[in-house]
Amino acid sequence: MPATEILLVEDDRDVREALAEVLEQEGYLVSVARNGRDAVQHLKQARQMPAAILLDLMMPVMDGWEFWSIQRSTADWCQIPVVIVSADAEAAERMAPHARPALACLRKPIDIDELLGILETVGCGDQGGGGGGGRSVSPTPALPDAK
Amino acid sequence: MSLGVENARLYHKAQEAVRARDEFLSIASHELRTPLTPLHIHFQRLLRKRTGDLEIAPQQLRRVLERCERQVRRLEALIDNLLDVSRISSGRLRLETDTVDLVEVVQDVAGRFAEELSAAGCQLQLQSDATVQGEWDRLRLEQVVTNILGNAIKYGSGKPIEITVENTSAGGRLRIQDYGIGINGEDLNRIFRRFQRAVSSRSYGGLGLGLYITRQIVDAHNGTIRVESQPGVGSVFVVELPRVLQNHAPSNSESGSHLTTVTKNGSRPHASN
Repeated sequence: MPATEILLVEDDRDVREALAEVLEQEGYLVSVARNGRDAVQHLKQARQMPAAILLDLMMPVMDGWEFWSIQRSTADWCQIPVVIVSADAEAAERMAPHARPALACLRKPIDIDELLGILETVGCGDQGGGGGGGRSVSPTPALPDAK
Repeated sequence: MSLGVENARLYHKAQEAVRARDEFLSIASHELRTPLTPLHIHFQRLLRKRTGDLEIAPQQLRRVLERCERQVRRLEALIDNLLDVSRISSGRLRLETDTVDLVEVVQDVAGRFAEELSAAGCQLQLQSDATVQGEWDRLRLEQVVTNILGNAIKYGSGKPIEITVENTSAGGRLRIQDYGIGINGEDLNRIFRRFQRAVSSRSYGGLGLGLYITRQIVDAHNGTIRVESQPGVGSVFVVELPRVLQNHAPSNSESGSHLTTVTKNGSRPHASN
């Protein structure tokens, strides 16, 4: 079975590297984008949609809010579950009520086990079955405490 | 009537100050959390005890620790900036002057940025006289170069950066030119003030303190800093430093300079404010 792909959108190189390594170690295939525009580009060119998107909010060129709004309003992309990973707790909290189809808002610094647990609930974890645009996602996403 | 108007003005000013402070605290918290994230992830990985994953090869351990150290240095730099602002406003920031070669300072700082320059796709061109010496505070000048060059990389990624260091009749001149996003005319006056940034904090990280601290350091050296910029074309920052620190002229910056200068032998030629 091919590895489940996660699209990681994060401008800080150190954060990107650390997250990518952890996910790769867990067997995920990680694609990276340095900002929202890169991520849009990536999705446009992708043959298969990633099983989930890890999205930072504060980024240059195109920030996470703008990317998220484009992603949600694009038919082929709107079903991909999004996990917001931001240092801005308030933003994460503000987003929580509108979070669908975002799966969770995690505040940096994040807990790896929590992140991996969330990815498993979308079916991208050990159980497999991810991919395909994450269309098997439950319509009632779990929203852990954003604090 | 006029008292009412004055009260309203003061009220508005106080509200503005509270807003700026709150925004700053939120940005500072964001900035401090960013390096904490990889640090936390690396430590969690080291601590995770998963079956079959207990052993970490010494080489891998070393790599992870080096990355952790890098994050600690980032945090240290952020905290230093915060402390500098506190020192500047309470008059506890001192210059320690010595004979310093500005060319050497620029080369050292540029060397430290090598990795970032290449990651950002910026080619750095340095043109300089053989030496540009003066009685300056080396560490503070490193900070000046770090702040301006750091901004040039941050806002001018993918474009070349040109640095010129030259002797002038009065001392030394440092010129850093980028071809990045540039700064709007109305923002040019704002960027040297505390907690001010010309760009949205949503898009670019940073405390909004770098150029404020830079200006204070240049002022303390009796120097000048100016910027010319055009949106979409790029920015050029020019710092001029007199060769010898003489009586410190009163600063014209927003809060006034509160710097004390100390020569290497510990005497204080001048204390301002």
